[in-house]
Amino acid sequence: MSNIRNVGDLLEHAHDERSRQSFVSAFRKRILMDVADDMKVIYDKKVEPKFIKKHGRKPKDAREVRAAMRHEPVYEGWSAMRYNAQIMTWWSVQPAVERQLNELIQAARDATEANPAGGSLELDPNVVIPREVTDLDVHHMPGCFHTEYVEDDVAQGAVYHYGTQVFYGGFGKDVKPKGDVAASIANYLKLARPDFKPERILDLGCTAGANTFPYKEVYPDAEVHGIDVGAPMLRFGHAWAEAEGIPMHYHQRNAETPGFPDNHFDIITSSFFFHELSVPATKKVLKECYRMLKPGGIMLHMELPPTSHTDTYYNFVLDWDGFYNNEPHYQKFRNLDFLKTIQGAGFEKDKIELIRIPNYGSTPREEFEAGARGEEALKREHGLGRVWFTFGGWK
Amino acid sequence: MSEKSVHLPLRSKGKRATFYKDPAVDQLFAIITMLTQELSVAFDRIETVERILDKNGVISRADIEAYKPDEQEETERTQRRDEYIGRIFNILRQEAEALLDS
Ligand SMILES: C[S@@+](CC[C@H](N)C(=O)[O-])C[C@H]1O[C@@H](n2cnc3c(N)ncnc32)[C@H](O)[C@@H]1O
Repeated sequence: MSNIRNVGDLLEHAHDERSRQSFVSAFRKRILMDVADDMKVIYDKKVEPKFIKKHGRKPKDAREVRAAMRHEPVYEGWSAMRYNAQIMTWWSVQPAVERQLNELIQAARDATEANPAGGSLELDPNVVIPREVTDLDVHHMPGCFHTEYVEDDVAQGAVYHYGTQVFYGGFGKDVKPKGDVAASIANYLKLARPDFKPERILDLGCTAGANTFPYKEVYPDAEVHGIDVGAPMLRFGHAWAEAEGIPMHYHQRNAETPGFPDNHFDIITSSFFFHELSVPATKKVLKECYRMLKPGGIMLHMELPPTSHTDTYYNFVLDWDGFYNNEPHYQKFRNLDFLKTIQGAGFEKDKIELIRIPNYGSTPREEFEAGARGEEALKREHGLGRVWFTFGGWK
Repeated sequence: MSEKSVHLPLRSKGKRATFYKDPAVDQLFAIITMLTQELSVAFDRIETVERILDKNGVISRADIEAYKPDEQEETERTQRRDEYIGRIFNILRQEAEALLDS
């Protein structure tokens, strides 16, 4: 390995910046655990009984729960806290990125030039950046995934990478910057299908690659590719992977028109990607997945659980992001009929997979393995990253 | 190498959400949250200083009471306070910023 500086951990934060970040992490934890628990208590003990008294039944969907909760001080407070914490997450890392942007860019250039791990980076200045990315700053990250301020810019990649650490920082050791989702899916597949030997893997909407790396770790013989529309994400991701010594192949391509050959990949995956697409785009991308997949290959995407898989109250909690986190397609995505949608892309009904995969890092090994053998463990409840919903199918 | 300095925007594109009947309450909420954060930062900083001083055995409370910053230091403090206020009250400026942008 060469001694290029690692964009993934070179950022120096000043004392007060670190302190601001720690505050945001702690604040978020409190909101998502304690205040969320309080809100459930108030719902169970006050709001739902009131609703039942008035209507003679329980709320039938998340919309009704929300209407009933909308003006409860606990909901207003929880929402306002969550909203501010979201915004402050990015603010807490922006000044350090601004200050050290030239260093970050230089480190990324050095990594690309030396290319010690042997990965690759293919940028296309003519890529069509979809409205899903340009219309709103997704997750309230100012500048979103694609904005470039200077030549060879990696600023947004850095804000995303370091901001994500603050975002998950309150949840302790279980959350690693190197992708829990991908580690869970890859290990699950390896255990569930020991004879399956993928040669080529594709991750859609890979951002900076946090959930692309682990495929290479679990399947070291495979070639791992990631596509995204955001150049600053890919530059950052490529430099990070090279410094970590993991060969990754990143391409700036739109998943609606990814352009790889037919029957090309053994695994096509993604994480937290589809809920950001419009429904027509989702359908188009799924068709492309089917086309690019080799016969005998698998498509398996991690996403939010469909509305029909979780209870009404949890749907109400999840849908919050759809209303307030600049994710306008979130609810329509969750309301899709997954079986029909996947079939619509070309998959045969009995080859469809809708699997809840336990989080690899925090699930006892035995339970994880039992889950991969198809035993009960997959019945774990959704929430707080204990289990990941995945959808897809074999070709 | 580009040495141009970049200012990352603070406001995210899209409508700002409000949760209270009066949007002013949402703004106050944001301000108070930021204040809470800054106070937490100040506590951290004081604690850092106290622990270092304690470890090195140099602290005297009378010294702290009697301390007066010189002119240069006061300029720095003024700048820090100014930035501090700018950060906390940023929200009040965002509507105008959005209007100017559109
Ligand atoms: C929430 S992020 C995904 C997070 C990432 N998979 C991870 O786990 O770190 C969504 C990503 O999808 C990208 N994206 C959105 N629409 C896209 C499209 N049509 N084609 C390719 N990438 C797209 C965005 O640029 C963004 O990086």
